[in-house]
Amino acid sequence: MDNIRLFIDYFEGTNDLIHCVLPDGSFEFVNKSWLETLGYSDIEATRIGLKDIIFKGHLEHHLNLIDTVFQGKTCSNIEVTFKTNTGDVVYCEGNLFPQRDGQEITAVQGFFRNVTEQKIADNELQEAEARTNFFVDLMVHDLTNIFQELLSTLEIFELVSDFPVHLKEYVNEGLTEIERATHLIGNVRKITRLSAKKTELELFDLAEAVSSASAKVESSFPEKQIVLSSTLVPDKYAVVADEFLDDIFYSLFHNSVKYNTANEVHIEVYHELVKFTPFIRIHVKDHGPGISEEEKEGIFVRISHRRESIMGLGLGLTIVNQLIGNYGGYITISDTVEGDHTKGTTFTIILQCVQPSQVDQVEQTDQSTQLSQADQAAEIAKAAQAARAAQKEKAEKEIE
Amino acid sequence: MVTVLIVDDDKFLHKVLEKIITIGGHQVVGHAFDGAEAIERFVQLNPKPDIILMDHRMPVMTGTTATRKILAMDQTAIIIFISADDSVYDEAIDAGAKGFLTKPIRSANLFDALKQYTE
Repeated sequence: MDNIRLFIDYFEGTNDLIHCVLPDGSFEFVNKSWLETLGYSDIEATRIGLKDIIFKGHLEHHLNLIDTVFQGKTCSNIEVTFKTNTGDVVYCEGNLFPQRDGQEITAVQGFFRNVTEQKIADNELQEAEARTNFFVDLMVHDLTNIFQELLSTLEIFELVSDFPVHLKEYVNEGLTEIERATHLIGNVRKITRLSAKKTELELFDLAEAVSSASAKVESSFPEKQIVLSSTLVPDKYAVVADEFLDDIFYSLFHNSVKYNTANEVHIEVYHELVKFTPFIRIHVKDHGPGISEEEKEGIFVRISHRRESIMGLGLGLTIVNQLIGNYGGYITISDTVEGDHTKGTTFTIILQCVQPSQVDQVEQTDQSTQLSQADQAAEIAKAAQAARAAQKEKAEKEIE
Repeated sequence: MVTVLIVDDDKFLHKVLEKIITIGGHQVVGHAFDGAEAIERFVQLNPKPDIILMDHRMPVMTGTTATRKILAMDQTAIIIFISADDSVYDEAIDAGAKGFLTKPIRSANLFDALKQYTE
């Protein structure tokens, strides 16, 4: 008797909606929360059926689920949209179980959690994100077209032979500014897409990414000589990343060259494996003007938290930081010469990596437990996804 | 000298691009302001332009759709995309574009492309 009392108290005290549906669709039992949420009295509940409380568009699907349960199965984590007495919509998630009397299934019990507020908030968030993406995309597209017109107009001045030579300097400055603005809005678009995108991580060759980024930077600064020394060799280390891996190194190299006034710019890339872990540490060292302690503090901070860009770096390092976070790694910054920030900057990146030689060893030593490179990549990618989710959660908490 | 058909929904861009192309010693033989008009102009032009500079995001018909339709009519047509959105690169190449220039485009890069794709 005490147990029955306990169950009744639980059913009546819970915020979950509980009902018991008979084969004809009428209700054998509904709890207090069900009545309050859907706006019916005890007596009204005896006169209505399932068809009266399920949102029309979801009714057929729900009736199919009810049939399944009458055949003895359980339906877990289902979504159902109820309709209240006044026509409002209530979003719920829950489970359906068969109610048995001996061998016979006499009714279907439904336990539902009201997730309306969460659902509305999720929908609003999705709409806001879609709106933001749309406007950013539109703005970037239209601004780029405007920049194209301005750039081409200035180039016409530059190209015509009778344009006064003493004014060409101003034209050149204007062209540089347009390119800077274009780069900035391109980065805004990239960062917006990165935030919205759920990337599939794969293995990418680290040396190849460094080499490709270096080539791009060299073509951006034809007037400078860029001397890159790297300890990375092709096909040696594959890191968990996506198509934007090159962009990380491009951004770091580009800054090293851009802010170094020397005609010959030296950049060193060297690496070491982090022992007993699937991580590689990559250092990108330059000998440029460096970054002060004060500037270092906010250099990777999300743009929403930063009042102004540092040294004109724009969104570049924000993107770098976000990309590396997406890969389950992280980036730090230090002085090339400890204690003297004016002698250059060293960025250190930690990424998850796979060495082909490690895979070979595993295959040789234990055939029964061998991991193919793809399996290992999948494992690491999974770990990276988890790390990314944890990082996202942490970031969201920080914002809150 | 390379003959060019410019396809872009931005009128002023036509004006400045034509000027630059002319300074570079080439000739703009036609203008279209959306994908459907591009097909129409291409059909009308005789001889055909050496190169079509094609924007992607345009009213009526996108650049990739127009590219597929033009290439279905004439496989020898050379289409180079000029777009502010490099995320459509794969779509453009799949449609049959020979090249892709991301706006804003410097005149030197444009001249290089005109030369490269008509050699």
